[in-house]
Amino acid sequence: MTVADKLSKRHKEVSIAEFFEKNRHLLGFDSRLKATLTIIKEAVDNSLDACEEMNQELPENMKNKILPIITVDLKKVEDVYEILDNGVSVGEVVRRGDKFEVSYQGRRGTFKSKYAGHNFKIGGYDVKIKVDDDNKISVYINGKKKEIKAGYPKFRVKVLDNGPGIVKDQIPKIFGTLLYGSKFTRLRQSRGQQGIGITSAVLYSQLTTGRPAVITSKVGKNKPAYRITLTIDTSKNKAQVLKTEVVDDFPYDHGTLIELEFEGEYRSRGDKSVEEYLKRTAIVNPHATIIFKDIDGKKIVWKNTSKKYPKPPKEIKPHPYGLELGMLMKMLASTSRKTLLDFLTKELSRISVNTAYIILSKADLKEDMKPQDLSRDQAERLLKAMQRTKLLRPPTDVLSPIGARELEKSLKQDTKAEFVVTVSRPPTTYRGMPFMVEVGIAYGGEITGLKLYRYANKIPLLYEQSSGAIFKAVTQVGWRRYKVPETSSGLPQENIILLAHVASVWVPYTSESKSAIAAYPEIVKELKLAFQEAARKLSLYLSARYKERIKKEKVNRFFAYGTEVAVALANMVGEKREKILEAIKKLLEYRYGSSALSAAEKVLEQGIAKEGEESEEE
Amino acid sequence: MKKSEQKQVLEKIEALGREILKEIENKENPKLEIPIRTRANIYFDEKEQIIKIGDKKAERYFLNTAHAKKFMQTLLILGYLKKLIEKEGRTLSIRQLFYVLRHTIPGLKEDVFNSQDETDPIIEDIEVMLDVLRENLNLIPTPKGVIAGPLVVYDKKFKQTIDYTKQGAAGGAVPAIVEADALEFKECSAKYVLVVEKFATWNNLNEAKYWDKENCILLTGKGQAARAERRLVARLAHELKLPVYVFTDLDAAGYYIYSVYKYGSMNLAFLSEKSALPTAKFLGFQMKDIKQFDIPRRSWIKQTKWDLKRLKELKGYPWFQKKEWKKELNELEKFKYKIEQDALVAKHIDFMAKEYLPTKIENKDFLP
Repeated sequence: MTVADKLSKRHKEVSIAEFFEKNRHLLGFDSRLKATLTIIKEAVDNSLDACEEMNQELPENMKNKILPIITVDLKKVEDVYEILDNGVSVGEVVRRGDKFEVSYQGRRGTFKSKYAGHNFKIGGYDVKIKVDDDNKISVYINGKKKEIKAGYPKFRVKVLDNGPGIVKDQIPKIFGTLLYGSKFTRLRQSRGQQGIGITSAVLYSQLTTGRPAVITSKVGKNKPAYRITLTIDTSKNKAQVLKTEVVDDFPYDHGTLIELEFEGEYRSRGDKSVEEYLKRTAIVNPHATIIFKDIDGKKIVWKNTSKKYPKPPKEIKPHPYGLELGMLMKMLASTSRKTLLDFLTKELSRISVNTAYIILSKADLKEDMKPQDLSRDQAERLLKAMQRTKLLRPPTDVLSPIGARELEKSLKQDTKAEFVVTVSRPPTTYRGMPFMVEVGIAYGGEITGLKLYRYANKIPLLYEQSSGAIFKAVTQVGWRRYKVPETSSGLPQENIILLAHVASVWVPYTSESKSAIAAYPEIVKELKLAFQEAARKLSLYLSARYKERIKKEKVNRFFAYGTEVAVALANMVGEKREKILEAIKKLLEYRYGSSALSAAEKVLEQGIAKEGEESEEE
Repeated sequence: MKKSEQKQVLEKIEALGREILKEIENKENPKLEIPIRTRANIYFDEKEQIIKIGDKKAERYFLNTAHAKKFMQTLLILGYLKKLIEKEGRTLSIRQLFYVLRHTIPGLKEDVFNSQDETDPIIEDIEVMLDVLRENLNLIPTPKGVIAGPLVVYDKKFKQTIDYTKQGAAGGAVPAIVEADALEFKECSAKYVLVVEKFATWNNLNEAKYWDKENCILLTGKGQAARAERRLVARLAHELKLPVYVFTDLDAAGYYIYSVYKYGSMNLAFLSEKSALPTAKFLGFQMKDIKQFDIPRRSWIKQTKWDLKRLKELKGYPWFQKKEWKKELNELEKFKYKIEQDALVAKHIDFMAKEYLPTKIENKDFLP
């Protein structure tokens, strides 16, 4: 059963807060580190989706005029320290902005951080907080230094886009209601998690900080920008608007800004850092510019490398080969079609009237049955009959690929690789579901070590790196054949980024946490073929580069030997060494070009300089 | 070395340098042409009866990855030798030359020469390329030969007279350079030159005063002869008209030592014209000597695989094709044993000096 299935059954019975608590792992909030990424992911996805939808709605002559600019601004807003007494928590210091909030033995007090170092009376206690040069604090109660333990810091993220904006009245529904959204039960390539994404982020924020979400949106040039402050009423699964204001300094003609505070964990580098996540997102969205202001105020821009939105995905009806009984029963129960014949031909893809009759007779069912009247047994018979009937494959032109050329430019810019190759495979199907794969190999340059960039429907997958279809395909490529050294487990042993994108109307994940794509043979095969095609091009590049390197080394050597030959010839003929060396240089220049010669001269000079340093050290 | 000879060598080196410099200036790939010294370019001159080097040449290019280093090394040695000769009179051993030239190429972390194995063959290259013996390049070989007998020589460099009858138990050393401009034969009353393979044999005969009794020059090269011993023997034969008899072990290696004195060697085929001695005779030990001198069974040693392999090679050499030698080699192969010179003392400590050698020489019982 999918998350959506669970949600639809249960959201009425349990409070959504309780639901959230129980399903944190499915929603991506099972650790503070993951929660930080999930919140940013949900906000960025929303922005990208909104921009794409906007572009689709625009008239032809306006399309691609406004490309997404998404700014992610992350700040640390609170440091929290527990005050311990023999290991037992007896109080807390919260540092927020320029204030310290202290609670000790049930008493509370606040003072400005510029008064750090002075004693303050809180209850009957003298409290003093010292801040050292590294911005670390120490806490003294009645003059005695207390043991403190760092708690979980709180962050504020602002995600701003230049999308279409959201109509004022819709804002509470979109950000404050779980399951609101248009993606639920649609069969279409999409980023989202069926309408629970951004709302779950709002909820997490609220549960961990008690602070409201602030959404500012503007829908047009001459329209006001509204700032709405809201919380979710968890008992009613409904947003509660606390404040609505009009602001007049919104940076774009239209767009949305969401601000959330949350308890999180921040890493400035590594696979699970925000920067890495946004970089990977930028790579597969070449049309979007993504800007990241990190908590230290560093600004990173991944500029768009494409001036065109990707082709929009199309929605398709489910293909019988990909149906499961649960889904079929749900469709039967909720359809507005009056007869089974109508249902088969209009709600599913690739069933003609003639085929429908064949299926019905195989399943021993009547064409005029009401879909809602089918029993579980009958539905099962219907499903088996459909799957035993020869049907056309589903249409495959419904996917929205990144595009090999776009991906190549983007990958090159964002990884600063020396060589990039991308391959886009034609769409095909697994179990009745259209899918296609795109891969990229980025080699050398600033890349260090092996990195695997996995994507499902343009979403970076950061967890469970070594499971699923993509990892399996990578280990089956046979890199050695393409001049790339290989580990015993079949991974390339090089400074290389392997990127794989699986786009599908329905991505089969290995688990509900959606961390890895299930290794269906069809998907693994496509990925492997794509990687092999890319690796072939890489190997051509590598051998050309190898030859170039050999040539360079050759000239370097000739030049170094040439300096010795000059000395020897000077002795033999009794002429000046310098004059002979000039002649040798001219010879090398004539034969191998002036750039090769000057490179060789440089190499030798550097070598001599280095030897000088080394001997000085001695 | 005579002044004129020295001048000639210097001119040859300079001419070679000029040629290379011209190629560099003409943007050609500079090259050295070196006569090939491998078996493929060695032939036996039936008429002169010496091993000679052919006219096949190998080209060694500067701008060729496989040749570049050797090209540079060859020029470095040539350049240095020119300076060495100009300094007059001083000589170096080839090992010393290696040390003089050895250095790291600035900036490359690579030595111009890694070992003497790299300089030695290049010195030989230069000898054939310039057609000059290394002695004339002021490089001294390392002689190991020992000599005794009625011969008086004059060392021109040290201005000393050496009498080889007065060298005691150790004998006189063969000097590194035995060319006429360094070593002059003053007096000699010897009737022949006896070259023995081993020092132990030489010692045995020296103690027995063999050279005194037989009035001969007794010389050993201690195994395979070095260039100085060969050259000295050749000079004694040519200039003093002395017959030369060679006495070795009865095995393939012994035969080969003889053939080097007589015809020259394959490695140093370019030396043959100066050092080979086609008139040399093989005294023994011969197959037929076993019976004639009744060498007991206990003195025989089984031939090793290496001995047999070497024997087969010998059979293939053109200078071992005389019928006497074909027969000798075939018999030795069938015999499957070998007999060392040392074994002969087992019969009697003076067996060689008093019985074997006098008998053989008196009967002129030699192989050609």
